[in-house]
Amino acid sequence: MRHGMLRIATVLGLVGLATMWNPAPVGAADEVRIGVVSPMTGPTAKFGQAQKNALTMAADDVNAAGGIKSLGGAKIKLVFGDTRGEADTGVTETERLITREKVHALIGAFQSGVGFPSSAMAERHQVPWLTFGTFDKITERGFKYVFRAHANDTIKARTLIEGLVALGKRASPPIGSAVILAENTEWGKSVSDKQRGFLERAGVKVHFVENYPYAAPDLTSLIVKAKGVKPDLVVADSYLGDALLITRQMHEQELRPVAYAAGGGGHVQPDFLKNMAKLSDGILAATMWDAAVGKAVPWIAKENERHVAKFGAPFTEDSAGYYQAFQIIVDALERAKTTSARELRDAIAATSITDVNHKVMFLPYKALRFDDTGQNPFATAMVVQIQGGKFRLLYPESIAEPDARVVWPYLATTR
Amino acid sequence: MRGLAQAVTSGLLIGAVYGLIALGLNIVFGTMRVVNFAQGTLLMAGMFMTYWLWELGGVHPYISPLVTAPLLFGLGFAVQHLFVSPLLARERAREPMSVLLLTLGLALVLENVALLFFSADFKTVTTDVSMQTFKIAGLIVSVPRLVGLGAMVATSLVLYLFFMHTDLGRAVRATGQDREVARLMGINDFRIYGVAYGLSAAMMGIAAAVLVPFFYIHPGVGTSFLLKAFVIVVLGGLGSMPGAALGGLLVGVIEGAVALWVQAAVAQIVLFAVFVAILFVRPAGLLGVERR
Repeated sequence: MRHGMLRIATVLGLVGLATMWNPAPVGAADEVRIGVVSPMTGPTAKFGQAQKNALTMAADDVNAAGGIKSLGGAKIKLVFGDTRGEADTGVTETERLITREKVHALIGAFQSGVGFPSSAMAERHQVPWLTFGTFDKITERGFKYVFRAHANDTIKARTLIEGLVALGKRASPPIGSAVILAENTEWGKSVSDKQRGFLERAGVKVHFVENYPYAAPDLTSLIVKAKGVKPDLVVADSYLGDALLITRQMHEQELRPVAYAAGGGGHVQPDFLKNMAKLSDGILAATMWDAAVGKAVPWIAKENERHVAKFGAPFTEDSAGYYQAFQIIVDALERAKTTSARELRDAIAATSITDVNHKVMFLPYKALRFDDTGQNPFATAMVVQIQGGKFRLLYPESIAEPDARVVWPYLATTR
Repeated sequence: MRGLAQAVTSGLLIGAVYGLIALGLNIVFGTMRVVNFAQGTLLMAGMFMTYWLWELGGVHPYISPLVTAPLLFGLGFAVQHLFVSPLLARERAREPMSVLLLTLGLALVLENVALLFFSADFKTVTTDVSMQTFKIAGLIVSVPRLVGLGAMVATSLVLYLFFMHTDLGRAVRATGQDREVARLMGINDFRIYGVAYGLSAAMMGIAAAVLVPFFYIHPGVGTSFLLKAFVIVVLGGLGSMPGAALGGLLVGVIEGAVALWVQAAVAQIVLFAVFVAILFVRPAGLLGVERR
C-alpha cells in the first residue's frame, strides 16, 4: 500500500516537472501563434470544423504571401483548443493555449456562454482576445484585451426591426402589431427584450413577449394564444428544434402573419431550410453574414468561391466571423511590428479601417474601429429572407442584392 | 373560450404521448422498483430507428413498430440481462439504489453514442400525415397527435389483457408484488425482469412511431419527454398502469390550459408544484396503492 502511494507520488512529481518544462520558444519572432478556441468535438463540432476551415485558408494565404512582413516574414501558426461546447472546458483550454502554447492572440469561442468566461481568462493573462459571439456583456466588463468587431445582440435586434420597418414601407399590408416568441435561456430572453424595445420605438404594438421553455415537447397553447391577438408580425427567437416545432405548429393552427421573422438562431441554419422546405418560404431573419453579400462586394464572392472549391461548402455566419477576427489580428501585427501582448493589444485597439475592400471587412461595415469597451460601434447585421430554399439579402440597402425583393406575406406562394 | 377548448384538446393529445412513455416507465418500476432513467434514451433510440427505416427503406413510421418494437425488446432484454441483473443479484435492498444509478449511466452512454454516430443534426420526417389537421366544431385536431391518442388507448388495452389474462403477465405482476415469494412459487424472477424491461423498451418503439411524424429527432430528444413521464408516474401512482395513462392526459391538459392562460414557462412551474404536492399529500399517487 505504502509502496503504491510512493509510486503515485513519483508519477505526480514527474507530471509536475513535465508541466514546468516547456520547449516552446518565448517571444520568438519567426512564428506567430494564434490560439483558436472552438468546439472541435461534441454536439456543435461541425461549427468548429467550419471555423477551422476558414482560418486554415486565411492562415495559408498569409504564409504563402510571405508571412507578417513587419516581423521579418514570421509565419502564422494556428493552435486549436477544443471547448466541446462547454464553458469550463473552454476556460481550461484557453488557459492551456496561453500558458503552455504561448499564443500571442486568441479567437473564440462561438457560443457566447463559452466565450464569456474564456475571454475573462484571456484578460487575466493579458492576451488579446477577438470575440465571436453576440452576447452584449462580453465586451461590457471594462476589459482591456477583449474585442468584438461584429454585431452584438442589441445591434442584431436593431437591424432586424429597422430592416422589417424599412422593407415594410415597400410592401403591403403594413405591420401594425407583433408578438415575440422567444426561448427562455439567456439568449432568447435578452434578445426578445431588445426587439420589443425597438418595435415599440418604431410604433409597432407588441401584444406580448413570451419566453417559452427551451426544447418543450409541445407549443400549441403558445401558438393559439398568438393567434388570438391576430398579429401582423410574429418574431421567434429559437434554437433549431424549437424553430422546427413552432413553424410546424403555426401551420397546423393556421397562424399566418403578414411577416414571420427570426432573431437568428435555428431559423438561419441550413438544417432548418432542409427540414422545413416550403414552410420556410418567406421567413425573414437577422444574420451577420451570408454569401449573398458577395453580390454587392465582389472580393468577398471570390474569397467564398475559393472556400467552396477547397472545402466543398461556403463560409458560414460564424466561420466568416472567425475569418474577420483573424484578419484583424494580422492587420494589427503588421502595425505593431512585435508580438508583445501589450503592443499588439494597443495596435488592435487602434484599428481604423473604412475601405470595404480590406480583408477585415469580410463582414462589411461603414467602418471598423473599437470603442473603449472593445466593441465596434459601426458593426451592423443583415436581414435575409428565405425565398425558394435560399437566403436573399435584403437589408441594409448598401449591401443588399440588387435584384432581390421582399416577399410579403409569409407563405404568399402556398396560401 | 374557443382558445381554451383548443388548448385543452391539444393538451389532451400530446398528453396521450406522455402517457405512452409513462406507461413504459411504470412497467419497469412496477416490477423492479427501479426508476429507469434510460427510458428517454430508449425513446430516442426508437426514434432514430424509425427515422432510418423511413429514410433508407421508405417504411412508414406507423408500420415501423413491427420492426422497432422487437428490436427494442431485444435491446431492453439484453441490457437487463447484461447490466441490471448482475447488480440486482448482489443488491438485497427492496429498491436498489445502484440500479437506479446504473440506468442513469446507461442513459448518458447511449446518448453520447448517438451524438457520436448521428451527430447533433436535427432531423424531421414529413409523411402523408405530418401537419394534417381537421376541424370539429371549429377546433383544429392534429391527425398525427390523434393517432397518438389512439395508440395510447390501444396499447393500454393490450397491456391490460396481457397483465390480467396471461400466465407471463401474471408472473410479472407477482414478481412486482413480492420478488421472494414469486421465486418460491417457481417464477424465474430475473427472466421476468428481462421481460419487463424489454416490454418497456418495446413500448418506446410505439411512442417513437407516434412522435416521428410531428416531432424532431435529435440525440437529446428523450430528456424533454422523460421529465414529463416522471411527473406523470408520480401523479398517477407509481406502478399503476391506469394511473400512468390518465396522468398523461391530465398533465397534457394542465400544461395546455396554464400555458394559454398564463405562460408556457409558468405551466412547468405549476406542473412541478403539483408533483411536489402529490408527493406530500398522497405519496402513492392518484391511483396508486399504498405499499408497506
